[in-house]
Amino acid sequence: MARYILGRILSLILVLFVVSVVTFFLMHQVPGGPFDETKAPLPPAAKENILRKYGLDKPIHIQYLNYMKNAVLHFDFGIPYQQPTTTVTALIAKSWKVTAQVGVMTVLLAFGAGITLGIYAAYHQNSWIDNVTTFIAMLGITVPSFVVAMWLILFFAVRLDWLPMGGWNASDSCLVGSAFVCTDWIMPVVAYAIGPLAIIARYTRSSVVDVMRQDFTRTARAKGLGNRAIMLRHVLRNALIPMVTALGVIIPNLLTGSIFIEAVFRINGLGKFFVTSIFNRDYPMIMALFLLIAFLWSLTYLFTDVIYTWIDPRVRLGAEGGA
Amino acid sequence: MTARAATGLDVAPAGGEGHRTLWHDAARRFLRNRLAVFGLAIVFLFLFLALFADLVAPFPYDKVYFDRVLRFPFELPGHPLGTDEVGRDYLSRLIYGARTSMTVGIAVQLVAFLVGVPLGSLAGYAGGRTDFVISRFIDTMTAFPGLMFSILIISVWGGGITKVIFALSITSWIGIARLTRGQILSLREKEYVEAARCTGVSQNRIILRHLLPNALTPILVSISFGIPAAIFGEAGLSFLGIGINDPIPSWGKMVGVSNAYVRVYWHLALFPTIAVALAMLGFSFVGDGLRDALDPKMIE
Repeated sequence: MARYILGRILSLILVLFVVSVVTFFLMHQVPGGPFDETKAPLPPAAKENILRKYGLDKPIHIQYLNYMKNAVLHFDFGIPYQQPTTTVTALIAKSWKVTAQVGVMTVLLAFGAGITLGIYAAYHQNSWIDNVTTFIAMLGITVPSFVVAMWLILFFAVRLDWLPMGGWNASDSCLVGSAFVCTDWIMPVVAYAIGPLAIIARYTRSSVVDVMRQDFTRTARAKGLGNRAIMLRHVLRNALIPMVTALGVIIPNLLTGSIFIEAVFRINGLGKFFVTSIFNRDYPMIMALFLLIAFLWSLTYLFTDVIYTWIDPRVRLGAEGGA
Repeated sequence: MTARAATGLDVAPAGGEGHRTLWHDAARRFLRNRLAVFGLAIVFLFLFLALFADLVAPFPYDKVYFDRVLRFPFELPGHPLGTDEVGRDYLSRLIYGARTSMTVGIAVQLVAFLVGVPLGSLAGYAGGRTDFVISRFIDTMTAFPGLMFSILIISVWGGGITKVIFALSITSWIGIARLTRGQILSLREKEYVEAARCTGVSQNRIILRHLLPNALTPILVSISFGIPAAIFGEAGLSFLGIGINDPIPSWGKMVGVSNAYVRVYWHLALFPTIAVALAMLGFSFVGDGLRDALDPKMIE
């Protein structure tokens, strides 16, 4: 087990290395530099100074080595050119706070409602609630989040005028502090959660239906166990196992935020920087964001595999070469 | 032919023209599925609009009427869906938007198929070092944040429909390659393949005649789900303001622009979102239908 995890960590490092190389050289291919001014060009001497300050006058492979040296040895990811008064780490930490807020609420809603709906639909197969769940799942899986977001805005903000059109912690209900739910939160979280919610509901339903047909469930029923005991002790326990791998993959996506949701609802989170950093040729910020996401994804894959063996001892890691 | 007889593939009933093949059965099952047929109708409608946009659309997509800016649906005769923020007929732009979406969706999946299937088959069949290299390559590509990578590529090479197709293709083949590899790996050990190998069938022929046709079903299903994913990718990039360049219409771009006008000019947001949703639903229904029709084991 330890050897397997060690191997996976080594391959994670390799992946991060490749991601860093490709991203670094690709982003320097983007035409234009961070300090190219079209309206008021800097005097050549001043520009040269700035380039020297950020090390941009050196050959590109030296720049890469310098960057990696600072990043790996000192955990220093540089200074964002968009906001030179802070550091990349601080800027990401600051904007991630908002994104994580959206993300955590989305995870709670998606998993809470998704698993509940899925179990309920499986237990009452072909009832109206099953049909409604199937319909929601279909819509949520196929329709993009920004389309759902626009529909919510059109209906609840424009037509009914019940909810604010955008912002995060900006409306009155958030400033009062006594409100349990800030009305700003409702639409972004619902629009963002509907996709994962649909996937979770569908997975849960099919997984639970599958387990309910197993012999051991029939045995449990035959020996006279109550419905509740069968559901909790036999069905759910086994049904939720295969979902770990499927659902673990959803979480890093939710935590790094949605570019679309943040754009539609004008939320100042991490998602905004995905686009602006590339537009502004903000090299340190681009590198940090790519590495962060690649790291989170690889880590999640590793975690889900390890957790899987822990909750389901029947699975043996590394037996098939760990592909 | 001798090789095929030896593998026992030709033991199908010699019923002449009337005998049932996998495809006949699949078509029958597909047509019995109402949702799938409905999806197929939507897909055909959008394909028709995409192909014949020049004949169907009442106005050219880039014709600007400065005296008819931001009109509501049915406000003016001749503009049933109103006009946009620079005075172009909204219905015409929606129709031409279908062309953009369909082109990107199909082209991206074509690339995915042409890259993913050969790579996956090679890895699965050759095994050993080849498999190791290709698999690590696939793993590494999986770790790249797909959307951000597309954004980066588009900012390197610029927007436009071919660039968008290219940017989306870079990550689209990964799933298919992985799927093909897994399929080939499991099929490789089957008895009929061993039989073919024993009778001296060449390696290429084994892959093309024995392995790929049997692996094709999940690949086809994956492609039918990949098309809406690519449509979503294009719409998403254009929504963010990169991707398809003006004046070529794109539903995603129309949604993105409408965000600034949504409080008053609701029609700008409503119609393109419905178009995107319908297209994605249509292709997904077809994908679901295909999966159920092609895999008889799914039906109990």
